[in-house]
Amino acid sequence: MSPPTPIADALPAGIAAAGPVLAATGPVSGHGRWHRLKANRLALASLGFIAFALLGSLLAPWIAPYDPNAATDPSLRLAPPGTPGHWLGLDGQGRDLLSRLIWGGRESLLSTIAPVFVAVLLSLALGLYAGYTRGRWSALIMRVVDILFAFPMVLLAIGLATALGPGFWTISLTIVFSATPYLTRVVYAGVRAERDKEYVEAARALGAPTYTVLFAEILPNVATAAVVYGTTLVGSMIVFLSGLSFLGLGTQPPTADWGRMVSEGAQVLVLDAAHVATVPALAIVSVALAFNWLGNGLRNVLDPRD
Amino acid sequence: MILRSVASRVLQAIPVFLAISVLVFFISHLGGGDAITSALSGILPQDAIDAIRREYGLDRPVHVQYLLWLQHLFAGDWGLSLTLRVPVFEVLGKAFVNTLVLTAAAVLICLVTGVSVGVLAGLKRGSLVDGFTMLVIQLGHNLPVFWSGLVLIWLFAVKLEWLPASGMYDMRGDQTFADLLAHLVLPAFSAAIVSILILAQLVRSSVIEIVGSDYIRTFRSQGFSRGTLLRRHLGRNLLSPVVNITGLQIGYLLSGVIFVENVFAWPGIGTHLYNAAAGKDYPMTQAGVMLITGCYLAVNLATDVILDLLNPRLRA
Repeated sequence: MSPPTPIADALPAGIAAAGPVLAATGPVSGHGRWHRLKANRLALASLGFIAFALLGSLLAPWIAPYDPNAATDPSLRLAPPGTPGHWLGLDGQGRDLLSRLIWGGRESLLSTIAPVFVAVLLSLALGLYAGYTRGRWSALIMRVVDILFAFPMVLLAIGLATALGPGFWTISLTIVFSATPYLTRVVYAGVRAERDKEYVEAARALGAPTYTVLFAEILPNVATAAVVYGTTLVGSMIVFLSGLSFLGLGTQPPTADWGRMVSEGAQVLVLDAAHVATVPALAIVSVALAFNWLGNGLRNVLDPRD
Repeated sequence: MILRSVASRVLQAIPVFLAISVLVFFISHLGGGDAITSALSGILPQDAIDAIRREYGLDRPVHVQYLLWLQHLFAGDWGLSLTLRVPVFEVLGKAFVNTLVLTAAAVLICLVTGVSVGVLAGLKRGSLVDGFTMLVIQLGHNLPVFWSGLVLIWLFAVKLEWLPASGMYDMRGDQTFADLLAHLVLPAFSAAIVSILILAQLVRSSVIEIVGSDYIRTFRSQGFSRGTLLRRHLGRNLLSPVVNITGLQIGYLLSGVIFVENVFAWPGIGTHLYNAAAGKDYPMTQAGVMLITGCYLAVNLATDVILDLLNPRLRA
């Protein structure tokens, strides 16, 4: 195994552009930060797009025009986008694609964001511990992180699906395992950068107990980094989760997330009905890009040195 | 010096392999109960199930079971597939060769395309070509492997009918090399796309760094032509980063290949693995996962050794 190199940071597909590790954020006022975020049009537009997608998912029962799993118009099977009454067309079974897209977003977005959030918490715990102590356990944690870092996580998903069956636990655990090593490295590097700074030494010199130093002094300075990188990571993880569902390891029919919708579209591709796969695929790519851009924007806002 | 570093790298890879084997073994036991009973109860009579359980050593303590399993793994005795009823070794052995063919083709495409695009963009920094490349690289990072495969199928197989959409050979043909190549182009390229982009990005920044370095400027000021300097120094200095990133991309390429095999119905390990996962065929998934893990670690090891060999500071 190679030691961690800057190039290794380029490994997971979507986060290669994430750049150097962000540590202390410096004394930027809340107002200044908002101002800089507003200046970053791309990040702001991404934020709006994500809010739009999330809102649509949450309101799915009220805004979806049809039942996503019912063949509402069998006579219009595979009708292209623009069909009256069915804006995005219909799939191979005559189900409304817009309704399926809205309901599918609920699955795809929520089952990515929740595990990544768990991974953020987990990586804060692991990174704080490993970065602050310099013992055998610390070395072991970072070694495991190195091992997991570039490991083909689809193998983990296959193993989990064999034991637990495809579905919620398989994909959630896989995403937690995929996101945690990356975030732990970010937190670890942040803690190592902070732990010997003067304000931390001052707190120690004043007799603050270890947990106060960790949680009141160091945590606030590394938590932002974890959240920022977590945001970027949601993008690549949505793509990864869709891949797992595409393979049949995620949600089971008739419930569909975007990945499963693409695999349904693959089956009718030869019938020259490319829209069935394209509609959910574009949703995956655009939401993933939005999370990447928002994450990069947040990083620029919070880390002025870039 | 080199020998010592190679030896230490081999020694470091062994605990990693063992750690992953423990993980794989542990995950198989997550389901609760034992998988053989739950998979076969109702299909086979109880005494037959007990015989299989004894054969797998499932009546022994867990750590003994693990050691037995590891021993069988190395002996090539990977058990009987629960769904296909044939030895796992036979199935996966054949599929493994097909997966290797696809992966090798993807690596080759990745290297050739990634390096040439990266060098071109790096030498013409700031030009239209460079800007366009950077845009594609940024957008492409999030391209789902399975979808890019579908787009290629739609374009080249459904619309243009230039290339076959699935499989490894034409069903009716006599399995010629040309036939294999025709079937290989689309899946190999879709598996390689994201890695091409990452490699191109890295090569571009390396080229920019080399071209702007002090020694190149010094040589230029002494009257060497730009072409001569690039011929002499660019390739040599690019070698290490290219080997490094390609080795690191292997994990990504391997998982890409597993997705791509599904899209293109390529008869490789991936195809067997997700069928096995759906059928709870755990001898199959255990062996398959360990096989790919072994390859992955071997490639990492080889990458590190090659980098050591390329590093003049380690030459005795």
